[in-house]
Amino acid sequence: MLAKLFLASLRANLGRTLLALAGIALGVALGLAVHVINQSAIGEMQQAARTLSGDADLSIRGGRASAGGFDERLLEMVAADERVQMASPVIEPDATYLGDGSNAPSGEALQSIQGRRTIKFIGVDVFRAALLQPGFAGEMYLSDDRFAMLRGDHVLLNQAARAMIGGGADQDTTRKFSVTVGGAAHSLVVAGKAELAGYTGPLAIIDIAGAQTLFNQLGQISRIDIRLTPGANPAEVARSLAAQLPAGVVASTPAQTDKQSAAVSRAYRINLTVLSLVALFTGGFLVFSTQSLSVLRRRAQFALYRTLGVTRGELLRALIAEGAALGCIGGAIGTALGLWLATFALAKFGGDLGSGFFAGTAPVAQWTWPTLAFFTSLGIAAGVAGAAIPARAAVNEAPARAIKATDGEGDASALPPAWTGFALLVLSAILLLLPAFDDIPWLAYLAIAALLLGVLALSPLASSKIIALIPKPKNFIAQLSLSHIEKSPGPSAAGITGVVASFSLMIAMLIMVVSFRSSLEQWLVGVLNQDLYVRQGSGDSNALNTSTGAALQALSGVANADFLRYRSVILDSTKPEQPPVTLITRPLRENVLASLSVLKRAAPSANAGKLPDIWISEAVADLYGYAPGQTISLPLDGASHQVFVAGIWRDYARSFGAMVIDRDIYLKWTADDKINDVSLRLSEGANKADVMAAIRNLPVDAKLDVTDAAEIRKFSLQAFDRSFAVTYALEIAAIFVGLAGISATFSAQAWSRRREFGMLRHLGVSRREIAALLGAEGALLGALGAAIGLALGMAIALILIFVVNRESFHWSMELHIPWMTMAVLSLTLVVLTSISAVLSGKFAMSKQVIAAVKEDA
Amino acid sequence: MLEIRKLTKRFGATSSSAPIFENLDFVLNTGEYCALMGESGAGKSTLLNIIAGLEPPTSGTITLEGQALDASVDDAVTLFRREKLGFIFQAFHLLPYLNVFENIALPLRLNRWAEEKISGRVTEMLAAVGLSDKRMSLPRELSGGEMQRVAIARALAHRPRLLLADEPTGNLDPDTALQILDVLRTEIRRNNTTAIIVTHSETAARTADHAVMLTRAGLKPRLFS
Repeated sequence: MLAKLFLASLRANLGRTLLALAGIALGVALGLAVHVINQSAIGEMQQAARTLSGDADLSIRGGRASAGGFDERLLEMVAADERVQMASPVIEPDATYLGDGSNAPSGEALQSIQGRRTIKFIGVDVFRAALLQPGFAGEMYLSDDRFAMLRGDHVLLNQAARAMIGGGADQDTTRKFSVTVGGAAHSLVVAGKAELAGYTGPLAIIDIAGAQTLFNQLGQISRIDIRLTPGANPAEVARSLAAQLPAGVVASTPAQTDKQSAAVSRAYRINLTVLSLVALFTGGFLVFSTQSLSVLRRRAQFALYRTLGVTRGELLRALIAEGAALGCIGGAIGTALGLWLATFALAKFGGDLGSGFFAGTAPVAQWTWPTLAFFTSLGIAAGVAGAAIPARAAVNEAPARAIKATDGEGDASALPPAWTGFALLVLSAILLLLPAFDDIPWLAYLAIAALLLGVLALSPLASSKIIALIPKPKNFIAQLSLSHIEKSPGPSAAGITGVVASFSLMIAMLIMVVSFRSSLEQWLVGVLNQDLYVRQGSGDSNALNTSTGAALQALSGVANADFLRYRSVILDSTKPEQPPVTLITRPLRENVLASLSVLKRAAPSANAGKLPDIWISEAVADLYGYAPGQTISLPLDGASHQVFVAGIWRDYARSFGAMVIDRDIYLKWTADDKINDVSLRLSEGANKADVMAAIRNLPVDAKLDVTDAAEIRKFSLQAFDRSFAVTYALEIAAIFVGLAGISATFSAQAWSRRREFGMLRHLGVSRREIAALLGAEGALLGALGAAIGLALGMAIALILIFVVNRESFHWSMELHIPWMTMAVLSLTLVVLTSISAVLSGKFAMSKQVIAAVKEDA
Repeated sequence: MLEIRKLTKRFGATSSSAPIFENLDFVLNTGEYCALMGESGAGKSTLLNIIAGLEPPTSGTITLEGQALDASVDDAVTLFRREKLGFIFQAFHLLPYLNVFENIALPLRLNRWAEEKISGRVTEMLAAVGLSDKRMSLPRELSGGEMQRVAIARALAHRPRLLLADEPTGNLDPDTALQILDVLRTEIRRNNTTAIIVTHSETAARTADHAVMLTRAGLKPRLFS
C-alpha cells in the first residue's frame, strides 16, 4: 500500500524524478566508461606482457627490458637449478625504422609514421620460445627454409610493423627494410609474420643471437622466462633465486609482473575514475535536493500517514526505498550507457584518455558482471544516501505540527544539524594527517568527501551569515528574495548542495591543474635551458654513438654539447612489482644543477667519504625513503656502487623516479658510452636554423631529430593539456548535474510556493516581477553557491596539490590561483543559476498560482 | 464607486459555452461594505478575480472610481491592483519568511513608500489590529486569529480604494471570527474603503452594510430577518 503511494509520488513529480534519474545515470555512466576504458587498456597491456612471457612461471628481469639488461651467464645459473624445467632468454631492444632505397616512405607517408618510427624488437631463442612462448610462433613465409629465423637478419613482423614498412605483399620473401641502431644502419629480411596478442605497436621477432649482434649487446640479455618443474612453488623459487641474483636484477612471478605493468598507470587510472565519479556524487546531491523538497512538500501527507498508524520505521523505509528505486533505475540506465560509451570511445579513439599511458592501444571493451553490478550498486547507494537524510527529517517531525504546515513553510530543512558539519571538518583534518594506504591517497579522498559534506552541512548557517552581511537593497523584489533565503536557508541550501559540490570540485581541479601547469612550465624552462636537443628516433636503445656526439660538438655555431644517457635500474630487488627507476647520466656542472629544480640539498660536508654525488627525484625519495646526506647503493650491470645522495630535485617526467649522476663517473663504472640525447648551446650570433640544417645533413645513417627547446616545451604543454582534456569534460558533466539540481529545486519551489506567488499576484506583483524575484533568488543562490564553492574548492585544491598529487605521483608543485578564471566561472554560475531559476519556475508565473490562494493550507 | 455592467463569464471562450454568471449589473458606492453570498460554485471567487483584473470577463465592464478595468493589459491591471486594491484570503497567506511588520509593509514597499512613512503606517495598522507587541514575530508564532489580523492590516495599509475579502473567517472559530469581523469593519470605516466580503456565514454577512446573493439569475439582495 505504502509502496503504491510512494511510487505514485515519484510519478506525480515526473520531471524532477527524471532529472534525478538522469543525474545518477550520467554519474554511473561516466564512472563506468572511464573504468572500462582504463581496464581494457591495462588489460591489453598485461595481455601483451603475458603473451611475451608465455607460460612462464617466473621471469628474471633487470631494469627496463631494453636499457637495463644483465649478463647472459645468469642463464646457466638459473637453468642449473633443479626446480627449473626450462629457461628461455629474451632481449627487447628498440630500433628506428629507416625505410629502404626502393620503398622508403616519403611525404605524407613519412609524416604519418614519424611519430611511430620505433620498432620494438624481441630477440628469442626460437626453439625454446616455441615451447614456452607459443604467442611468438607466427607464420613463416619461407616454408622451404625452416632455419631462416636462425639467421640474424631475418625477422617476423606484426601487422603494425608491416604497415610501417609498407609496399610489399605479405608473402614477399624478398622484402627488406633498414633500421638504425646506435647510429649505424642494418638491413633486415621479412621472413614471416607474427602477432603478439595485445601489442599493437610495430614489433619484430628476431633470433636472440642476431639481436645481440645487431644491437651491440653481445653477452647481454633483458629477461629470462622460466618454466618450473611440476610442484615447484614460484614464489619460493623466486625468493631463493633472488639471493643469488646480482644487484639490480629481480625474479618476479607473472602476478608481480602484471602488477608492475599496471603500477605505471595505476595512480592516474584511480584518480581519473575518482574524478569521473564526481558526477555520480553530484547526482547523489540531486537526489538529495529533489527528495528534500519532495519531503518538505509532503509533510502534511506524512503526518496523516503517521496519524493513521504508519510507524516511523515504515515511513523511513518507504522514503529510503524511493531513493533506492531512483538509484536502481538510474544505476541500471547508467550502466548500460557507460558500457556503450566505453565501447564507442574504445572503437573511435582507442584506449588512451589523453594521458599517453595507453597511446596506440586499441583494445575491445573488457568488463565483468561484478564490475557492472558494482557500478549499478553505486547508483543505488547514491539514491539511498540522497534520500536518507530527508527521510530522517521527515520521520522525526511531530505529526501534529506537520499536519498543519503549509507547503514549503518555514525552514524545516532536511540538512543535518550544524554540529555534524563541524564534526565532519574535524574528521577531514584527522584523515589528512594519516599516510597513504596501498600507495593510493584513499584517506585523502575520504578527507575531501568529509570536508565537502561538512561544509554542505554548514551551508544553511553559512548562507544566513553571508546574507546578513549584505546591505538591505532598495529594490523591493531584491529585498524579498534576500529575506526568503535569509529566513529559510534550509530548503535553499539543500537545493544548492549539488551545485556547491560540483562547483567546488571544478574550482579545486582548476587550481590544481593551473598550479601543475604553471609549475610544469617553470620546470620545463629550467630543464630545457639549452638551445637545441638532438636524438635519433625514440626508445632507450636508439642511442647515438660517441663519434656522432663528437661531430655535433664540432659543428660550426655549437658552443657546447652535453651528452645524456638514460638507463633503467631496479633499486630494490625486494619490490619486483615496483617499476624501475630511470638513471640519467649527464655532465653535472653547477649550471646543470641549477636547471634541475633542486628542492633540497645535503650539506657538502656530509659527504665525508667523497663518494660520487647522485641527485634523486622526489619519487625516489618517497618510494625508497632516501634522503639527502644518505649513502645508497646504485646497481649497474651486475655491480653495486656506493653513491652519496646530494639532493632532491623535481621531476615531472617520471612518476616512478629518476636519478642523475655525472656522466664521467658513469663512464668509469661501465663501458656504455652511448648517448640518448644531446643538448646543444649555440655560440653567440649563431643562426639556429643553419645549425639545425647542418645537424640534419650530418653524414650519419639515420637522420637526426633536432628540436628547438621552445618546441619541446610547446609539445610538452600540449601533451599536458591533452591529458587533462577528459577531466575538463568530466567536470562540466558534473556542473550540469549540479545545475539540474538548481533547476529541480526551483521547479519544486515554484510549486510549493504557489500560494505565496498567488498572493503576490493579488497584491499587484506582475509576472515580470515574479520572474525577477525568481531570477534574483537564483542569482543569490548561485552567488552563495559560488562563494561557498570557491572557499571549499580552494581548500580541496590544497589537499589535491599537497596530499593527493604528492601521494599519487610523488611530485610537488607551487600553488597558483587563477583568480580571473575563477571570477569568470563564478559569474557564469550566477548567471546560469539565475536563468535556470527563471526557466524552471515558470509555474510561478502561470494563472494556476492565482487559483492556488483558494487552496486550503 | 465600483460599477459592474453586463458582466458575463462563461466556462469556455465561445458564446455557446455555459455561463458561470451572465449580464451582472452592480453598483457599490465609495465606502460601502457589501457581503457577497452564494452557493458553492456560484462564481463568487470568479467574480472577485474578475473585479481584481486577475481573470478577464467574457463580456461586460468594470469601473472603479471612473477608471475602467482592462484585464487584457496585464501590466496596467497589475499596477491598478497594487495601488487601488486590498485582499484578504481565507488562508491568510502571510509570507512565512517575513515578520509581522514586514508582511504588513509588503504593499507599501510595492507602492514605493518612503521607509519612514512605511514605519509610521505599519505601526498605526499594528495598533489598529491590536498587534503592536507582535511586530517582530514570524507568522508561525501567531494564532489563526492573529494571522488574519495581520492580513487585514496588510490589506488596508496602503489605503486601497477597494477591499476584496474571500471567506476571511472561514478558517477561524466563531469567537475569533467575530473579533476579526469587528476589526475588519472598524478599519474599513476608518479608511473609508469600499469593500466586498465573500462569505457563507450569515453572521459575517450581517456585519456588512448590505448583502447580495449570486445565483444563475444574477445578483439579488439578501435580506436577513
